[in-house]
Amino acid sequence: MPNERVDAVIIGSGYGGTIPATRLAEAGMRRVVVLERGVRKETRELEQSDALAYQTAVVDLVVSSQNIAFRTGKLVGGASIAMDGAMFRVPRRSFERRDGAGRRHWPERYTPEAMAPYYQRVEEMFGVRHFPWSEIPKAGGMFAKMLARADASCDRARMNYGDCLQCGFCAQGCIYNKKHTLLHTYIPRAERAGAVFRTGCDVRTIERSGALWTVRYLEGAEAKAIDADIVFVAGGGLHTPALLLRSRAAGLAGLNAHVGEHFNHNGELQFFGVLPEGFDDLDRYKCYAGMDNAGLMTWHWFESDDFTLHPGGGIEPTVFAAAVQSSTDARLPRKAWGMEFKRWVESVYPHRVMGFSSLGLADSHHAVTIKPDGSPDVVSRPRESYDRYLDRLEARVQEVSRASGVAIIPGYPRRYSGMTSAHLLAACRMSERAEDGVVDPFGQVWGQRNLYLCDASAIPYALGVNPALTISAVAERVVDGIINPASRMS
Amino acid sequence: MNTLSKQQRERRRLLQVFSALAAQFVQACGPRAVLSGDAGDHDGDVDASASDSGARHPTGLPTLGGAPDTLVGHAIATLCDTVIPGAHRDPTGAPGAVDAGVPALFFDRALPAAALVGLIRTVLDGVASEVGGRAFSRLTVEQRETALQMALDRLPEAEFAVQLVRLGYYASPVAARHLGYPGPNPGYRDDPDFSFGPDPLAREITTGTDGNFP
Ligand SMILES: Cc1cc2nc3c(=O)[nH]c(=O)nc-3n(C[C@H](O)[C@H](O)[C@H](O)COP(=O)(O)OP(=O)(O)OC[C@H]3O[C@@H](n4cnc5c(N)ncnc54)[C@H](O)[C@@H]3O)c2cc1C
Ligand code: SF4
Repeated sequence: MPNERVDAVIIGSGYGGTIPATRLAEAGMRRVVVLERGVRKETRELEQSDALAYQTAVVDLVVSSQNIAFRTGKLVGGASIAMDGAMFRVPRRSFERRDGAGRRHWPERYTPEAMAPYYQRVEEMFGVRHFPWSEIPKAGGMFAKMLARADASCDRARMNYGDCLQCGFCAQGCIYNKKHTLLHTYIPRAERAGAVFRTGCDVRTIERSGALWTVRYLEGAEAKAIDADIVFVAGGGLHTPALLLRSRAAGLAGLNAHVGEHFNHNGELQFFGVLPEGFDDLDRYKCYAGMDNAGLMTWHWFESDDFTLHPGGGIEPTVFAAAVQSSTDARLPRKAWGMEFKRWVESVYPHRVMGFSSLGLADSHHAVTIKPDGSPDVVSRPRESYDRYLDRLEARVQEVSRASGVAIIPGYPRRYSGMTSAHLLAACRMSERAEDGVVDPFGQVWGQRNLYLCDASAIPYALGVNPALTISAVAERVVDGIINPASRMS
Repeated sequence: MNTLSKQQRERRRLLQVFSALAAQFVQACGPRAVLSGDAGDHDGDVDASASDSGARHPTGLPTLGGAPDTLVGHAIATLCDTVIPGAHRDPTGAPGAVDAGVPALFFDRALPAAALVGLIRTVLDGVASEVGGRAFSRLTVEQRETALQMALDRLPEAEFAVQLVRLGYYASPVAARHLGYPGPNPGYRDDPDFSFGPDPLAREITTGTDGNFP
């Protein structure tokens, strides 16, 4: 029996897949099929639940052979369902970043000016707005006050939330319909234009068949194949490189050695702070009350030290208590167990706890490979440069701690940095020249006609800010280059 | 295969499983994350008969928190009680790991920790025999603390057993109630203590009004 034949197959329905699917269908392409391995969860099927079984049904937790856990999408809409709403444009400094040899990480055509119309388009689609201080929960407020005491600046975030009720269950999917996910924006448009989203379709490999691409996938236990003129690989930061590596192992020729390399988790590291007695009106502060991203961002050290910090809200007891390590800081418990520890947690939760995370322009120290079963793994690469970034970051955080009186608990020992990262960039990075990366500046895999890739893994380097808006804007630009070839000249 | 290399492999496995678990719990946890459904609702009254009857369990615990009444069960239950002391020995009466059913987690076949309880007991009883000349579960509270510290100093991987107890306890509804964490809610937007109001709390530096850094 011949394979099913369509115009375009899109593998994965996150930002990097749904946006091209939408634009291709709207541009009149008739048979656009999105293959998504996950299920579709409408708002009424989401829960305010911390149960591990529920959480891992919303987010794919990939635990590497080194025990580092990464989070990526696994529903129709990808991680847009679980993301925390922060949507920033990338500063010029990120686009201009250069490697040790003085070469720009981003291809030349990516500049703030060239990206502005695409950023604007996606901001409008997602209803991104600049949050006012009155909508910043106290978890963010405490962070701003800490920075103010250290004479550092702090800005409000841009987020894709409507009139958020501030329940603190964003990463579980918003049951109140206040987050503008792909299911609220692009997907209905794509479907109106005729694109089809198929669920439970796990793509295993792709291969060339003459001028066409054959996509092989499992639907349940059944092996299926579909042929298309054009394919977008958009499985997200880990599954996209894994799919290419599987395909190469199965015989796909011409993929270069960069596939899986340069994997970058965006300089993400988590911290908790313990506010000193008398810091503010502490009795009236509850660290769990409010959205997961507490709505702020500081750029104070971005020019000098390459990192930003943003607060975390909605802090549950577990997340905090599990992060506490034995400490020599007199304000923290000597050991993280026993009666003294139990008393200490009672004395600080929920009135004195705050959390924050860094993002930054840090070098890669990991690569994506595949395990024997073909699923993604993450392995170590040299990390001297990354450690220098961490040194700077930690030194600045300690300065803030001294100036503000806030005791800082580093989220994890260094070897686990990135342990819970959800910013999974660059493992199939875009590059100006074929010898430096996997994808060309127009989103086509080098040397592979009509094979496109514009999800998180194509972002060439750390961004220092949350990536979803940039992934979306790049996807808009890549698909624009296909629909309107004239736009490629800009 | 000699015993040492087998032990080393098991240690590695311990490290792997517990750190992976820890990573999972840390990122995904909250009440009920660990004690799903039923186990969570039993919390305090698991094995309550032992304390009602006044008959002290040989471990000194009023309940084994869902661990089986075997030597391995005793070792795990007393480990849990050493990490987060239970109401029975807390002067404030606050609940602890055994009250929250944490020991049961170590025996839940759905969780990989179940494969490791024998190893944990071996490690604990090894240090316990040095500290007090008997099994960990038969030591006094002070001796258990000394022994656990000794185990952690010698085998840093053992930290992951402690981490699992911490996670199990603080993810339980018992701990949530005790600490005043409400869980699911209609939103705090209208709570009078929700925010610090409309005025900037720190100096803002983004130019323009769009909130993007140039
Ligand atoms: C909890 C959480 C909070 C976050 N918060 C923010 C935030 O506040 N701001 C921000 O900018 N970013 C945030 N992120 C990151 C952001 O969501 C991701 O960077 C972004 O979603 C990546 O988009 P993507 O299209 O590359 O991949 P994804 O969104 O991960 O989508 C990939 C899709 O492909 C599917 N897929 C994978 N492999 C296959 C296969 N073989 N066959 C079929 N389908 C497959 C997956 O099931 C998934 O649905 C957050 C992420 C998480 C998990
Ligand atoms: S905090 Fe706001 S956006 Fe997040 S889940 Fe609650 S209502 Fe939705």
